[in-house]
Amino acid sequence: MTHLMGRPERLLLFDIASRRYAVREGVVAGLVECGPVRPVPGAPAAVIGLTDWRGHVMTLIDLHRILGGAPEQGRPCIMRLAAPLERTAFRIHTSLRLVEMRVAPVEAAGAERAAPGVECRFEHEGRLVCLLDPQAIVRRLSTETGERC
Amino acid sequence: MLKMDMSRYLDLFLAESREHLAAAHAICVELARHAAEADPWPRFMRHAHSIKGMAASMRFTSIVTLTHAVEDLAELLARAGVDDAQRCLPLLDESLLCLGSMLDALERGDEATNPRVESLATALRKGCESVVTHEPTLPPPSHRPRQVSVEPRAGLRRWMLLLHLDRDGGRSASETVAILSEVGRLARVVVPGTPALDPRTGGVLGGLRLIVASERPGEVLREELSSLLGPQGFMLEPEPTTPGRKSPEEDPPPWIRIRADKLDALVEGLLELKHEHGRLKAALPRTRGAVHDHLALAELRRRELYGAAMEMRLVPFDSVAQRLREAVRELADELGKRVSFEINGGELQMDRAILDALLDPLLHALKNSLDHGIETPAERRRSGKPACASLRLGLRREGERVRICVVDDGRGMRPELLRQAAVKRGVVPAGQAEALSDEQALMLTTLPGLTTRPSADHISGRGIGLDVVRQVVESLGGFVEIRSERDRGCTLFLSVPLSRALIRTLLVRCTGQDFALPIEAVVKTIDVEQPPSGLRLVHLDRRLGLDGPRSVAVPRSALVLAGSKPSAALVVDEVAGRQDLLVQPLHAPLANLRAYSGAALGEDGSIVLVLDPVGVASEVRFRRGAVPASGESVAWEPHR
Repeated sequence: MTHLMGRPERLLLFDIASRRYAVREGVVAGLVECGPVRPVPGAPAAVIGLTDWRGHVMTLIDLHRILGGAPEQGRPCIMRLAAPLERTAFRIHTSLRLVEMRVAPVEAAGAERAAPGVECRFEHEGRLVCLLDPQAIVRRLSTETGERC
Repeated sequence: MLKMDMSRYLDLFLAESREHLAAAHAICVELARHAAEADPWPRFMRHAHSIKGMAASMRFTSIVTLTHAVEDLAELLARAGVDDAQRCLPLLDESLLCLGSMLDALERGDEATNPRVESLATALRKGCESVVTHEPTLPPPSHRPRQVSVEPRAGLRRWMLLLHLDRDGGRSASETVAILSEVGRLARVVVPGTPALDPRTGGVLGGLRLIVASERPGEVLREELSSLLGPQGFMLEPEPTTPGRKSPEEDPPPWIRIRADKLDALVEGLLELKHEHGRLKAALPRTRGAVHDHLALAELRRRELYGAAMEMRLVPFDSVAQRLREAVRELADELGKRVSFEINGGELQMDRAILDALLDPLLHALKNSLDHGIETPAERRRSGKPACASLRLGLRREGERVRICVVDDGRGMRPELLRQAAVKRGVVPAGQAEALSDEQALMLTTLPGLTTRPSADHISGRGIGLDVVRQVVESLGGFVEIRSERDRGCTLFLSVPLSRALIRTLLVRCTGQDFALPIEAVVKTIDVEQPPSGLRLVHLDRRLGLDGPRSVAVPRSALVLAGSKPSAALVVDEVAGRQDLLVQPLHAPLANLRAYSGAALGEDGSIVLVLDPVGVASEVRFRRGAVPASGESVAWEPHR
């Protein structure tokens, strides 16, 4: 985790179910409009389905269904992920904020430790923020898909 | 400054050198098979000379040294007997492999050097001394008459086709589109003509002049056009030639080299245009009219452009042959095995994107054969086999697909041990494992985590080789088959589309949802209530867990699936029609869903899930994605 220390990083912050999360700006290829979604029978519950982005079929994952049961209302924000997950997007229903800061990981306690796909935790504006690892989230869902087949 | 200038041309140098190297290598292969044309050496020398010239301008001295020595030997061999040529071929082959490795190094950003250069150059010089030439007074190469090689496509003839579209009161634009589509099936449209439309009626005014090319004889083409358009509906004549102007075959147009990513962007753009067209069409009122006709013509033009762009992406399989040969040679050396590696059908042209994607799986397949299948020379001798094993990679075109086989004469696989391992690993319950046929049991090797090794090393042993092969091949819309005979060897078949072109599908509906099924996967439709004996019915709603409202009370028809073992028929609510779709693979986390081979955008812009006929009909639900996180794997030994 040495790469986390020292250098300022650009992070996208958002809140889900009263918790604050972040992803590195570099793992997000862009924020895009979401077209109609085609559900995929047999997919894990967190996978909402497939959507079309400029002729490419993308897998849409609802972060609320992974990180905490927030109601699906309001205008969704779609984060298209960067390579190697360029055909995957996260959907959230909260606003995003871009910050530049040094990440200093802190130890989490109790239930916080078990949060899925969390690379590390750090403090920002007096709140604990979970830095998400999209690849870990997708890997975990892939395993779940493998169980279903 | 010099370095910066060189780097500008490095990509071009690498691309051109690889082409020359592949062509030189192909000549070596032809010579080894005694299948080369009468005098292949001038061609070989031109390729070597081209590499040397380019390398000299880039100041890659090691490449220059080696190609110069190769050229010298080839020049002597051109005047020598067949025996000398056969004796020197391994040395030339090794030199070409060494040149290939230096190109690889340059591509990685390393220096173009190789420790073998000096020893190979010395061996090539010694080879020159030992060659007995028959024409000692031959003038130096520069004074020899230049050999011009023109290779027209066999039997392809160009025609001027005049379509009389104004007959019988004129044709509507949509009729014209249909006619042009049919003409496109009979002959390749080289120069398309654009029909003039009547702005009031949308009808086509006058005739349409096209230049088409076809390998069919003129009378056959005329007969087919006549049945399509009527005897008075067209005129077909050989393409008129301008005096003094040579045909494209006699005087090929100059080549231009473009970056693959620019071509990919063009293809992507044309695909986006298709989807925009679909949305536009869906948004328009359904009444027929001039706008719809214009749209249909625009789509026809887009398809022609798409076809032309896809054709530009075709490259011969031989362009990757060099890398495969080198990998086999290096791995065989490392494993202490002796192998004769042969590629048949390397001239087959494939979509560059497909070929790029296949390279890694093919390396895995060859590695698998070398490491697991092929025995050491001592083991082979004990089994009564020749010490040198045979490893063959063959390619054959089957319609719009290419069938690739990797054949070794090694120890083969034992299905009973594969069943045991799968049960032990928890991939298949014991009862189901026993019910697996030998063919199905062999396919267990394509599941992650099953390995033939007690421990993993840097070459293999983690049981992910054939898993990668299957995943990639399936993501390309292909499938994998394995055959094995104990102590006789193993054959891995890969079937993939030649290009990422549109595939014809049947749209099937079940509980209100549309799915697509490749037409070639459907043998016939049968009545569900009277299925033939031995046929297994797979209900799509149960298979996928669908529970929406049904469009019919009781499904009446089922689609018999090709290649399903035992034979299976897919029960759906209804067949909703046909569509040509460009299938895109599903990516993680959905790549493991065996019921689908991908997804595509339908003509109206909606997303359609494309069913995998093998996966959807599979009786056994293999538990996939079970690779141990730590990389440890269950040790088992299927061969002893």
